[in-house]
Amino acid sequence: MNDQIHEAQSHNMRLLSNNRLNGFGGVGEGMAMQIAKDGRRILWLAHEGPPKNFTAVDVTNPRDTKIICQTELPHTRMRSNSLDITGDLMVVCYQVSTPGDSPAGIELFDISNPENPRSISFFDMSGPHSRGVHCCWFVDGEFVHCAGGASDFRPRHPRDDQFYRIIDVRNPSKPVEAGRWWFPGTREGDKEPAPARVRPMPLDNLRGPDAFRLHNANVYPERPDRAYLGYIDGGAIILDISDKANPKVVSTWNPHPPYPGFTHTVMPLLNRDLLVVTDECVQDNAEDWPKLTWMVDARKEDNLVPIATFPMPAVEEFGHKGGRFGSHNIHENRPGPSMRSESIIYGCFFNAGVRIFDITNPYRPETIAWFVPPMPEGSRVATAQMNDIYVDERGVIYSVDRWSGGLYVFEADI
Amino acid sequence: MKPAPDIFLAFGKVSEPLQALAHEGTDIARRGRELGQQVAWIGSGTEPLRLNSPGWLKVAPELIAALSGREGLRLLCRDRLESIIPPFAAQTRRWIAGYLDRIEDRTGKAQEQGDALTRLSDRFFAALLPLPSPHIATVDRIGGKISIQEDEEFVRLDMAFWDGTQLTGIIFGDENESTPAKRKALERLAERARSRFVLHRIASNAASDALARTMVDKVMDANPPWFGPYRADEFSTPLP
Repeated sequence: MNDQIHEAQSHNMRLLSNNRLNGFGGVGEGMAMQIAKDGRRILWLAHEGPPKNFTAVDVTNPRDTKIICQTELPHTRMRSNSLDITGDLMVVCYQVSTPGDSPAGIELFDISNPENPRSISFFDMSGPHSRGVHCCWFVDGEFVHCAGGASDFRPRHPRDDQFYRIIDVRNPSKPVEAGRWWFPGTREGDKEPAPARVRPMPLDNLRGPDAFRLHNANVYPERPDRAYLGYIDGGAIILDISDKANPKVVSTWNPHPPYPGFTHTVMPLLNRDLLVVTDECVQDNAEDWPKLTWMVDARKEDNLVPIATFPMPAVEEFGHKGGRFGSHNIHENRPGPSMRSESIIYGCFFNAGVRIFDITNPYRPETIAWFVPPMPEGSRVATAQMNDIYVDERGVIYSVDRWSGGLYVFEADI
Repeated sequence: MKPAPDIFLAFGKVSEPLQALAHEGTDIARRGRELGQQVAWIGSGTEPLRLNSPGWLKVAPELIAALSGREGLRLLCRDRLESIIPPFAAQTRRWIAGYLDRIEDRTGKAQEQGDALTRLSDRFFAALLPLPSPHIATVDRIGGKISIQEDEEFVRLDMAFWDGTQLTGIIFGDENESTPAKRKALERLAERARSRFVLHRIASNAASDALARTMVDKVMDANPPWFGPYRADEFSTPLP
């Protein structure tokens, strides 16, 4: 029997507002902030699934947020899930449910008039074995780093269809591929053997675990020659992308197995020679527990050493409240109007809510604040499922629910 | 007007500054000292803290005797400074290494010729001492009693220098890399410490270079004679 979380639980955090996004409160992993020309602060959100594509919310007043734009997907066999912004240029990802379907790829928009995003171009990543693009990173205005399929890529396992693609958008009306990298052994024709599956799953559903495909690729302007990849069951990978056409592996770290898989995000703390590595919980009711957030010593880039895991509340308390419980997204210190701290980490943990950690001592991350919202009306599960998080340079915290709760805005006493 | 309070710093590999204050801090204060291996007191009249300031560098006289002259002393100094930098203060480590390189460029490499007691290159040891990862608080020291106000807090920076007049505190990164609470804590520290404290945020290579130049220039302010890092009391015992 699931316990339901009816009341908010919090420590050192306050809810400023909650916007249910016109009843379409299921948000994926795309959260990016634009400072519009008129000074408004606009948060762009990619929806987790159809029918909506993306929604723009004016968060200038975090206590009174307003929807200014909400768009539709072309059909219901696809989702956007992810987007990113540099200046007034937005990239939106399109992923289809079935390989071979379309549109699958990335679309670029001019959002200089936020109420009326204007499509500039589309880069097609559809193919007979491709589901398109799951996640993107675009912070320098020049290159999109994304997890995508391709028409010329046939994976050995159907879930391994999305790999690392670098798309040059310096001419946004004509995006071109600048480079690509995939996990050795995952492509038909590779000389390397196929990687051993960590937790084999039936193929009736291509979503979910049991995949050697890219999730997040993070590249920072302070270190443009490095890409930090969360490659799901392939673990954490650092690539040298000084020659984007020929990425090379610098190092890898993979706790899976014995851990249950799904490395999601690898965020470098470049001033401290540390990495924060998150796994993603992808199954309800703690079936894939523990899904952890790791602190990794990266002083020697080619010899990554895990030194701690972030504290999580007890699985006895949250594991069976309903829905997912465990790690997922963190605020990724992206350039732009964003908090960029290497001692405070903000993360979201599905039914364990939003949690903030002090990693001044990286051997002992400490939880310093949290907020667990109550189950939102219309949720598919009995809890809120906090799915993604963004913190602006003022310290205002934005987080989204995966199914129905929409956008939550918080402040923290930290 | 009430004089500015003293400033206490716990620096280096310190995670509990109150413990550092309670132990080494009170110990060196009792002995009339201002600089220890992990702590420093800044008050009116505190001399600039330099590489050759006694207290931070504890080295056995036998090791000093075994060094190969000034080059060895210089390398020892650099090595010991590197060793007090916390393991994950990568940017601080890089900055300090660059700073010491600049000092050497400015003062010249150690010259071993001749019998002079001091040489121009000894000015290296007069460079201001970088205090890595300091936790800083203002304290009241009245009649030998040390007290921290109830609402006082330690504020952690990336690095600090004391030049005899002002404590220069350094944070690498923009203001948006500090949480709102940290920004307020820095404001309170600046208010309490008044003119004795100034904060620099280093958010670009240009700013980093400018800071390094400023700090390197201060080595030329040091009055001769310049000694190596062996003026500590620990070395007052004659060598066998």
